[in-house]
Amino acid sequence: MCLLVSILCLYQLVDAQNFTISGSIKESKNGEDLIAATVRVLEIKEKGARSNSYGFYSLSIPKGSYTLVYQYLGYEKQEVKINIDKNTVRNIQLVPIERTIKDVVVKAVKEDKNVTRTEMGVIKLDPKAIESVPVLFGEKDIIKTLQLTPGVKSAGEGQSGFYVRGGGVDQNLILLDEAPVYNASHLLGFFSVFNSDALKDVTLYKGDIPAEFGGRASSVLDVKMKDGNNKKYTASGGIGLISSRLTIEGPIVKDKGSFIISGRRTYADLFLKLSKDSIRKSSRLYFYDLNLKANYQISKKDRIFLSGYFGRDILGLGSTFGFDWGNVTSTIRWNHIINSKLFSNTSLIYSNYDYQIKVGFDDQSFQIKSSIRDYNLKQDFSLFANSNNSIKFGINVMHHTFRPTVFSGTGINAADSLKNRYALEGGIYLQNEQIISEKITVKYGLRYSLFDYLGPGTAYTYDAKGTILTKKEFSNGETIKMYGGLEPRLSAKYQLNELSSVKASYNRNMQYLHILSNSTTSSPTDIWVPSSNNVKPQIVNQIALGYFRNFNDNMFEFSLETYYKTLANQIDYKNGANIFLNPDVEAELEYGKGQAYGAEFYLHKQTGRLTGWISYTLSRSLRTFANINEGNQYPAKQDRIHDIAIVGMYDLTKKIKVSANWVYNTGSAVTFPSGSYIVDNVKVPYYTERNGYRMPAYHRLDIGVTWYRKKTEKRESSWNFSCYNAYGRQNAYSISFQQNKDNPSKTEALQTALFRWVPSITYNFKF
Amino acid sequence: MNPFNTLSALLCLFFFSSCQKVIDVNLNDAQPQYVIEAPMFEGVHDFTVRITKTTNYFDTEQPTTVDNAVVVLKDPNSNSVTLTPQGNGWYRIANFAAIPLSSYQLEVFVDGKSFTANSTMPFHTPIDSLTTRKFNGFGPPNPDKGTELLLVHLKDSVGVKNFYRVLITKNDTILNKAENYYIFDDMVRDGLQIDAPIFTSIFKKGDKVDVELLGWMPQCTTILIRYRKSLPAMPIPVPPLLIRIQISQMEPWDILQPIPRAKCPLPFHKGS
Repeated sequence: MCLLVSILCLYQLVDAQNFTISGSIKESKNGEDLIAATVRVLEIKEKGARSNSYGFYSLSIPKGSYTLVYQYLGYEKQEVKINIDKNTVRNIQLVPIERTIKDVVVKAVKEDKNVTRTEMGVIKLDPKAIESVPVLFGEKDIIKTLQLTPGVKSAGEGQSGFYVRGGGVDQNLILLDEAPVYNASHLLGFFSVFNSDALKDVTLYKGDIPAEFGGRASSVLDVKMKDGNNKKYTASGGIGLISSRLTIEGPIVKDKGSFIISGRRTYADLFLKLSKDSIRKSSRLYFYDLNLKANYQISKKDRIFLSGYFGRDILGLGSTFGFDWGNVTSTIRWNHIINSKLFSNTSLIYSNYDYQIKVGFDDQSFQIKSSIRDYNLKQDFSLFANSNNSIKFGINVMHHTFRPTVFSGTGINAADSLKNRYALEGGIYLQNEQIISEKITVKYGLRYSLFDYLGPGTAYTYDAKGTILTKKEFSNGETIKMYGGLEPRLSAKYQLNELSSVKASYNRNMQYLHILSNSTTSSPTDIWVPSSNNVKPQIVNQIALGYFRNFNDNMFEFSLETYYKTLANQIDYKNGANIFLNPDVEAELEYGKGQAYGAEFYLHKQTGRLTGWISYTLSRSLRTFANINEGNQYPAKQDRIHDIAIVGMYDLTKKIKVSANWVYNTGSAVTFPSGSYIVDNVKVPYYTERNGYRMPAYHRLDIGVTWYRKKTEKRESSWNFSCYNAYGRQNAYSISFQQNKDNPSKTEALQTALFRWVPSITYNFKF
Repeated sequence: MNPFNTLSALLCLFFFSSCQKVIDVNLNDAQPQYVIEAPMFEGVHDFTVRITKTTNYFDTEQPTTVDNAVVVLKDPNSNSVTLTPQGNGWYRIANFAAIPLSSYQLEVFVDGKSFTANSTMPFHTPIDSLTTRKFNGFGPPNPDKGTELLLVHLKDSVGVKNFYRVLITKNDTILNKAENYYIFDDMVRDGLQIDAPIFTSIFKKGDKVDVELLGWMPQCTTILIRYRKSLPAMPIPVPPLLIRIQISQMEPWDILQPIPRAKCPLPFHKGS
């Protein structure tokens, strides 16, 4: 901390001759903060700043007269002439560009951030911009759109689980207003939990992960909810075949505070009620989301936010089967501007994920419940030290409660339920983005993370066969096992010329929580377990190198990024492991290492009547475990060598936009039998190499048309028609083996394909 | 039963018009391995062992049998008995008296290799009763599949880790396909009354049902199957047996009379 104070004082001294201009950058129509909007000083080329997550910016420049240029993609550029002779506050409101073809061509800001920014391996999505990308069931979905970008792979047909640069599904930290979301899927993965209507900003860090983030090995998906319109009351929504959504937002006090309430619900279960069959009639099959947020400006320097998410899936068959799961998150934040250069954010965060299963009958049933719950206290500071240094530092402490499995019901010995487990996880970080020269910018940071696996609890050790060797009891609050480590983050940009740059980065990430799943993608019954005396933290080191080039006055954005990752303390299952409801699940695990490497090509056309991108990823993800595959390296299940996505959106007329995307990827690595044997008159598969086979290659074309109806001052609406898998390819969802019905001695492979020609229609409105 | 899989199937059924087709998959031919099956039953029975070899997955021929092995059984008193080769892969001890809670060791010597398995015959757990109740299965109603769910009631023994398999004979035909396997343990039910619904088979009224409760030794899978180098991550319905020990035969005709050996015409709603 002394070092930190010394650094701050040094910067203050160095910067003593400059004055500061600071303030907020917001959208003019609804007062939403604009994240990462830029401010440039026209007269001093290397001087500039970027707004933080709360729209706050700060820029230090010498005394004089300047022209400041504020800009943000999709908004009118704003130039402000200013005479600086003292510290000044200047709040800016940028005007969004109206969506007409003429405007888009002529006025759109053609950003060169791809080339000029230090960051690499970062994907930013504007939830508004993905409206016309055709997706399954017409439900615009940020995660499915991210899966169309390089380095991000879908975990399966229609799934919202995703892999980033060869990492597992559990290696993605998914944050909604800073709160971790432990299961981001609805309806067994076919929808994500993110209702795009309620979202403002989506950023995925595949590499070059800022030091403020920690806890996951491969990526961070940082999703921020809208603050709500602080100018006027509005309502918007959509009515679709599967679900409908409604969002209401408005000022609490105009220009001082606002709220937003956004809900979504599917209604397939309502159709089931029409069935004559009693079982179908009493079936439950729906999910809902509710996003709530409010903010209020207490003073010129203080603002508070309260946000929450509540989502649940409810599935069931009569009284014999019930299965529901969901996330609850809430965040209380306090923004405080300490001075024109120092910005503080304090957050208290709660997150809970749980599922419950009920099996049985009215008079005889049992339930299984499981959950993970977090309380997190987080303090972040942004110091805009001078125009060449932007410093971030902070600390957080998080308490985890893992409730692995609790049984109850008739004929159940509740004492056998798995006991709760507890852990404290914390981190402290410091990061600086420094402009060294006109051509060179570096970002360097260090995070120290700590994980304390706490009692009360019992620590077991196991032999190679999974037999318990030792057992030790720990009392409440006693440390069972502690881990910690430094996580350096480093990146640099060298600007070759105005149109191109090269960048490099190095990241080290530690992950203390691990998912145990018996499916290839995220499932509601996934179990999160802490690092323990048996399970070590996963450690990933990643280096990346990239070339970035823009063309045609920034109309085209091109990047080529290569990466190499080493993954230590990876987890896989022993042969024939049983993890479902297993109290000694740690005895079923094997520990090994992995490597992932690849090249990502990305060509993005940002403006014009035709927009879209082409993404190609060439990559491998491999694992080595001493006791799996005879110690030989084998492909991870997410290993797909080729992954291509082509996305296009074309303004056919002022009112009609057509869109299409085509995807292709190598089939996933799977384990098939290489032999069989007969035991008890049953043919049993005999497996040899792990993930030694491939599913068939996957490809699919989706098409969509959006018809924008006449827009008035008070109302706008559109119809969206789309078809998922337009050429009806039967992509393999699974391959199973079964006896031939006519000739039981013959075994055949059966391929199941889920979706062919899935049409959808959605009506969107806003008033 | 994995609820996730069940619900996945349900969703597919309700929402998505999934397509299935038989495809060609080019599987590797694994090096043949020895398969040793040695079920032991409580009481005086012939103890038989069969040794075969694994085959290519899609082969329809019967597996190659191994007739040149030496198979030795050691009883709890460390007396060794060599099984007599019977041909076609079979080895036998006639009228062997197997005693519950006793430990046995099986050694097999073949082609310069040796395999050893140790197993303790599990505690004898009888079936208390059988009942049925109306059930349409997980999914849309299908009258062809039946409407009667069978429940097996038993009292688990305290402090003993038990694994059970329910073997059903329906209308004089043993339901012995992989999808008919119903295996459960006494996790969270140790020492309690277990009422196990047999979801793998749904019956119609009038069906004759014979139920056997078999006990399994989980460690069998780790000893005799040591040549199996790799299995997939997902739990698969591999029957965990190579030594199979029948610890209990259902004798409930006093409950479900008057059908001998519990071959019961449904409905048999007594107790439900």
